[in-house]
Amino acid sequence: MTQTRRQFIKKSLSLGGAFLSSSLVMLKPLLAQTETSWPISKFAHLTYQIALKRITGGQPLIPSKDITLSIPRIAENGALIPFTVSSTLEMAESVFILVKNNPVPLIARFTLSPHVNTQLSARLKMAETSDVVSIVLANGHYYYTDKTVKVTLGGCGG
Amino acid sequence: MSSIKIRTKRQPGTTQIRTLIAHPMETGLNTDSKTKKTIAAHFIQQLTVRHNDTIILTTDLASGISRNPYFSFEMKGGEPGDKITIQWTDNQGNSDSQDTLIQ
Repeated sequence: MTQTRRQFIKKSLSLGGAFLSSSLVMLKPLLAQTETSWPISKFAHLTYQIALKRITGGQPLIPSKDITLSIPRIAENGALIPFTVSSTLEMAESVFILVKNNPVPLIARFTLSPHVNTQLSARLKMAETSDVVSIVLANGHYYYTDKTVKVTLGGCGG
Repeated sequence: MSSIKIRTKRQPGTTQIRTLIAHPMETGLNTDSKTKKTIAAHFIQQLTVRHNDTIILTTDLASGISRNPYFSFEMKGGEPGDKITIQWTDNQGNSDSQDTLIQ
């Protein structure tokens, strides 16, 4: 073997690179799979505008009076804010809850079957005073209603 | 002890399902006040509600839901003795499931 040290390093680097790229290719379908089970791209640390775009796919949001979002106007503790979304829209498929100023704006996505009414309650966290937006997907259109919640003590800072 | 508590209440034409789950729902952004280390994200990602083994509702969640999450849903119909199953999985691979019969 008349291999210099320099040649050896060159070779091993290129081999390593090839291995890395092949493993990345293998990783891709794995990532795609998790996308369908839990929408990681929608739950990432994003700005509200980008998160919204990933949800609606660029479709416009239609303001609707048929969605009721009940949430306190002023919350003393941002770690625990109860909310209820109800809607009389027919054929509702999904309900999204977003908090505009949270590090992860999307709070939850409820996928409804025809066996349930659009009447959902849960409790969410808010980092600071922000608009809370509830979006209902019905008949292929995104309807929304929003409310501002004033937070006197943030809920994401422990 | 299961981490899930379920209460059902029959109303005219509908059944209200309420659930309380014991879970820390850590965002991954908080630091431990003693060790100054970041607390790893630990939150429920998916919650499934079944009525007699038919999925009636699935929920994708993130850390924006409060600690020890509470949910309330409204199901159409529902007879006494029907089975309601609630199951969750979190981002660390844990899961739990609990079923109850409508009163």
